[in-house]
Amino acid sequence: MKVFEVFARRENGGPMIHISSLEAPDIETAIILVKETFGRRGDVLEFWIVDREHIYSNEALNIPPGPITDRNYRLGDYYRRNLEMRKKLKEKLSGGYKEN
Amino acid sequence: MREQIEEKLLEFEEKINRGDFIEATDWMPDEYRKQLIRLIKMHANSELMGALPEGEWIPKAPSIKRKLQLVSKVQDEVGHAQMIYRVAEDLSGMTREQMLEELISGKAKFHNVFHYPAENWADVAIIAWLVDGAALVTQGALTQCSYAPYARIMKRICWEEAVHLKYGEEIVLELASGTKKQREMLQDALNRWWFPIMHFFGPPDEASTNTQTAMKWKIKIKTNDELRQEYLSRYVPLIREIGLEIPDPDLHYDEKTGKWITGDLRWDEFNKILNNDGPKTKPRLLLREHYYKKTSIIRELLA
Repeated sequence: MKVFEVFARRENGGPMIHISSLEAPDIETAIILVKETFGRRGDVLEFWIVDREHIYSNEALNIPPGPITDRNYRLGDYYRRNLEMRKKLKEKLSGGYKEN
Repeated sequence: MREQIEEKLLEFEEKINRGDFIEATDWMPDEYRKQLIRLIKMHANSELMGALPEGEWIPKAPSIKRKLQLVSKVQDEVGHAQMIYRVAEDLSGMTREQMLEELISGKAKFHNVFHYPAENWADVAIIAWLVDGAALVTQGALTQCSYAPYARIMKRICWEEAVHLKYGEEIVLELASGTKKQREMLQDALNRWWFPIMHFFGPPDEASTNTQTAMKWKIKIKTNDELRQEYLSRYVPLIREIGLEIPDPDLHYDEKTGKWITGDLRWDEFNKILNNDGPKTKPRLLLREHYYKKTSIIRELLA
């Protein structure tokens, strides 16, 4: 038996999302099982079946999924400080701008 | 045969009107594919060329923090190019090498704003805040594009652009809160960038030849003028609030029509750039060619 990972597009224009995995002796049987198990409600627009052996996962390869150092300046939250900077600048401007 | 195609076209248009999306493997009219390829290739080229003016400033960034931020942004832009070229490859059957060679040869187009020099650090600030801000308005609309593979990556790209413009705003605010010289630099950069940014959204609707079909098939969701209006509504108050002056003395909001009225937008300058004849077009393409040749050994090794 082989393990197959199943991906489906359920929303028009949406991404392929992993929904489950299943066991089958071959791809032909896997297709039947996917249609019977996941396609039976008519809400699957498209599916992909991938042999698990063909998936490279970072866990199996022992690789961290992202940066190992703090790079908070890559995130929007870091820039909340802009609000404060803008507020201070507006106050300065309202009193006639003077250099520090 | 002809009837068959007409039937397919009808079906395609019904799908679009219903608000459904088109996947790479779905049937699509040749003209739809053609317009998409043109749009997507130009977008990919622009992300790649856009990395150059900012990349020049990495060695000259004023602090280690600013350098890290800039490296990260340039890396994001090149990443966008990679994602978008991938979509273009699936759609056009062209290879990435063919597209890059087309770009280097000067036959392909890239966005007008990347044909200009980034003269000083204030330019870097204005580019990240106001040019990326313009890109976010355009690309935000494209997240609803009827071609799903493009719309999906646009969501990811918009998320990153939103961080870029906040980073740009941070430097703008820093300079605007600084010395007289820094404030002058910032105003000068805005003076030079304002009209190219207005051109970024494309010619006025009445002069834009592709708009009608692009809108009908939801390749574009908003017209050039609609995008420009959206941008003005969002950014003019933010720019004025920090004591900067927009270099278009006629720019004002018309209460009656609810629209921004601009002065002469200097479209001659834009038309020159459309023919790849901007102030920095040639040196940038030469630089692109230099990098392309320099990395050929890597492509050969990976092939």
